[in-house]
Amino acid sequence: MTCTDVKYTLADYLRGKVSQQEYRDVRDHLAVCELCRSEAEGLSSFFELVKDEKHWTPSDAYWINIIPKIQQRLEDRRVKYLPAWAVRFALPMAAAIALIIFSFKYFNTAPLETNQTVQSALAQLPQDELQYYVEQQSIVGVIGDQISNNGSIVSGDDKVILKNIIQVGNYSTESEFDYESLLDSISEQEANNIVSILEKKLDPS
Amino acid sequence: MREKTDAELIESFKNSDVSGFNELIRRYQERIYWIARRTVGTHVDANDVVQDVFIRAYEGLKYFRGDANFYTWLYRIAVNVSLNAIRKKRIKEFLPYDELWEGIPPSDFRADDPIQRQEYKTILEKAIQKLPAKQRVVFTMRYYDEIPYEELAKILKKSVGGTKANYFQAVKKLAKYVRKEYDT
Repeated sequence: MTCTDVKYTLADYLRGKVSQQEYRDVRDHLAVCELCRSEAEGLSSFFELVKDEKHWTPSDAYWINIIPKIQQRLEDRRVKYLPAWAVRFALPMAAAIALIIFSFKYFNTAPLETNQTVQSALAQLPQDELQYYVEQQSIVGVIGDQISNNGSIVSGDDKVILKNIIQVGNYSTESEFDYESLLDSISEQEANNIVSILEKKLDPS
Repeated sequence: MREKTDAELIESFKNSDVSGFNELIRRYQERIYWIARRTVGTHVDANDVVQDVFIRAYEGLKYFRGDANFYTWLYRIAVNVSLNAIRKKRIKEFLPYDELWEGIPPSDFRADDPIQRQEYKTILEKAIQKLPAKQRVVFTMRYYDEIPYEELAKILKKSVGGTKANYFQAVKKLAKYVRKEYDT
């Protein structure tokens, strides 16, 4: 074991949370390495100081009441609640999509300005809201593997990403977007541009 | 009677049995509470986080594919919601982390006040509030919940080595703070 390996294992070693092999490796290293030994002594006294600290805990009544409170909030949401990001993101998106479909059907303008309209909607979305939104998509596994570790979107199929985002928007707002029409109406290039905007918002650097 | 596994409870929830979800709340509420409590720092904020976490889990569970452990998935939500709560609080109160998490009881602190008693913190808990938010999360999950580094890395979307380094740095900072407190 190197000194770095030992340091990273010290806290677990001192608390008896390592395997027998790790225990022997760390113990043998400490026997010959003064620097690591000194580090271990410092951490050992810390664990000794805090091990008997008693912290405040909520009463039994608190734990019993959590489920009713959550159920009540879920019920309230079904009736009236729209999350902040839905108001700021999904609703502008919905408005933009409705406008696009309306324009396409009734004015038949060519070329369709989907990209510009959606860009405009996205431009109004604060970066932190989008970051949060994408994190949630990642969490619920809807577009999970398409989000890389640094938060950027890495899929090759941009239409699928947009479809998933809109689908989740539908679910969360309990509204109905005609996403198939949207996706039919935009090109791969436009989808790619929109996803690029999302990526830039997520990681401006 | 044999206790149902998480996977079985999720399956029954997906088949419209809400009691399956309630059982998942019962099973994880304390662990989620303490992650939240030690990350956001107060009972009141932790209470909000716990509810938000389970509401998001409720909404997202139908998308849960079972690729990871349920608790890994749930903890990831808890971490995100907790960090988000800190970010919002910081913006709302225009305070840097250091001031927000000073952890020093006010001069008019009253131990007999139930609300104030909820905010009582041990020296270690005060020290945790001094850590950067992500180290708080790593320390809490490793020290208190003893989550294996491999699972921690998945929850935090970091490497195992990076997670170990983070935990070590957190412990070192806490040791320094706690020793100082005990010496004064």
